[in-house]
Amino acid sequence: MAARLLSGAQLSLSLAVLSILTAGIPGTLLGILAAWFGGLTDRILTSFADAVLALPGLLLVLMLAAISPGSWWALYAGISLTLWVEYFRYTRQRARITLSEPAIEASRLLGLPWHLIVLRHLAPEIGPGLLTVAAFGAATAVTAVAALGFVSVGVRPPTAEWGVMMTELLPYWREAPFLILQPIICLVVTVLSLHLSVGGLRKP
Amino acid sequence: MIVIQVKALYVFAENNCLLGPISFEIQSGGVLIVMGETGAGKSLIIQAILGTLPEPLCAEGEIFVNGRRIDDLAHAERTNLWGREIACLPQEPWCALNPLMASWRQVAETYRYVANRASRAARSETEKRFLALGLNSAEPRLPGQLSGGMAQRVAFAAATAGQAPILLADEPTKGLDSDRQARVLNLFEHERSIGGALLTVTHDASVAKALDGDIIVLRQGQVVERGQTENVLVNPKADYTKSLLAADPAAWPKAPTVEHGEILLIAENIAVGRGSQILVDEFSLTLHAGERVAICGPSGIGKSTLLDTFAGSIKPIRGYIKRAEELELYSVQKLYQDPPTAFPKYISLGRNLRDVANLHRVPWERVLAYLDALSLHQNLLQRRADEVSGGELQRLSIARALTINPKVLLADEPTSRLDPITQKDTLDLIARISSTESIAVVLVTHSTEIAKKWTDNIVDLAN
Repeated sequence: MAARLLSGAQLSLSLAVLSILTAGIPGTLLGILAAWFGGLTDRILTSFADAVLALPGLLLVLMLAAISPGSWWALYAGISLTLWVEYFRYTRQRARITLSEPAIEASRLLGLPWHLIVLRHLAPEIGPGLLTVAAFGAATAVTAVAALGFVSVGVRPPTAEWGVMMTELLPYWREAPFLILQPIICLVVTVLSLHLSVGGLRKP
Repeated sequence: MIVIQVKALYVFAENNCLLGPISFEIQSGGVLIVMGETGAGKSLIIQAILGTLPEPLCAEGEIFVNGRRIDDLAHAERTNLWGREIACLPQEPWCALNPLMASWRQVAETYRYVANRASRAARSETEKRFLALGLNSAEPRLPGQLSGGMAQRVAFAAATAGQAPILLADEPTKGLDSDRQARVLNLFEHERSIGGALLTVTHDASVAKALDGDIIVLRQGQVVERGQTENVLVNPKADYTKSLLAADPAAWPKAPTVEHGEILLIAENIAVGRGSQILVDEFSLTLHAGERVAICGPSGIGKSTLLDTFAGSIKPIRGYIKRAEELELYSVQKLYQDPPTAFPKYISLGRNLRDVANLHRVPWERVLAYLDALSLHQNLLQRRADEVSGGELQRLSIARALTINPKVLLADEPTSRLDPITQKDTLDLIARISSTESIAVVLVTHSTEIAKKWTDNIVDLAN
């Protein structure tokens, strides 16, 4: 049981970390791009993000899972596709404010190239907030994996996964409630610690 | 009758004495002006009287309001005095209004809850007050829909609705053009005529001149000089007071005119604006090397937009701007109103200057030589923009611009956030650099006084 729980943790957390990378990097870059160029670029990217946001995240994953049932990549792609919007919206919002400051105009008049503007002005401004978004994103990913496993769309048994384990142990909850409690506690503790880590990150 | 009396007031930050000892009293109908440059501890007096000193600071001494000692009261009892016994007009009062609430409601609120009127009486009092202040059209409007001057009168109405006999005003004329300044001073005169006592903190000698009363000149928390305004302002004893008064633009000597060099920039009948709204139309200007031009006019008339157009940040809606051929891509530089916003927030000033120097292949020694020439210490380079005073930072941005040999310097109210002595020094410096390096300077200012003393070539956008 302990081994299965740990193996589940491995799966959930690695999926979460991977999705931070694949959702965070393009989301942030597109956000900067939209804020930088504004106009048509901004409008196209924002409408695209809004379209994704209009679809409930789980629905998108369910659709992908339906194309390729039980596969690991569909789960992963679905989570990444829903999570990048958060990074995009946050980055675009903050970058727009920063880029409209006189310091940016001064930098341009002084001829400083774009990568220095990103490095010196944008990165320190949005960096700490991005860590917060990433921690919340990871928590969302962990919950999503478990939720999909629970309704038998995500990872398939016999793979050890918390959601899948909950489904398996559900019939025995009357006789041995502590069994199903174990994956639940694991999930709660993981999500809670991710959320609490945000508080720690915010401290200077 | 003495309305407010302060005996031996000190303000400490842990073991550092920031202010004091200072003692004064104000009679009913009297005025006390506290004058001094930024950082002299002027605002600390107001905060100590209100009991709103920020955390590590603490006040010592005795404060009496209408004969009652208030400095040893509990915090809740002191907040009870606010609006009823002591009213405070904040700096830049339009920021103190609730942007989502109709103007009259904000004033009626004070009548209702501070002066404890019934809600119908509060409403009618507000109407009377608005009428008296010439605000009758402003009642239903939100603060964002009011002009700056109107918003300020609404804030004044709200602050004084509790009929407190003492009015504390922290830099009431900061950032206002001369027209609005006069209106604020009129309001104060009215307050006095009905028996109010006024304590105002200012760095502006012209405000002190307009209000007739007692004056305290403060420097680094110490009283340098005190007395009647006419004595102190006409016949100052202390050297510091003299330099403070000499820094008033009205007292400046006229800056020498210089010969113009070749043409650098021509603007032909340009119209500029934001979006589709045209702010300035049919504007023409020919800029020569070494020339100083001042553009003045009240706020919101399009001075800054015009400057942005010269800088090439926005395109003119009509007409064209021609740059001389010898003008390189980065020959036009800008100085900003609020120097901290012109530098990166999170990295050291040295890093920023090095970036510029590396990019334009300027030897670092030359940058240091410029800093030296502008009497800036190299230690500043390790700090960030928010850790340096406004005057130093503005000089540093001049040094940063000089690094890349500019031909045109566009200065957008470069001194409006600086105190008078620093303002005079900075503008003198810009004029000097303009003639020695033969740089054309366009100065945007809301003060015609400064423009007149600084150059002969004035463009007044109001006409």
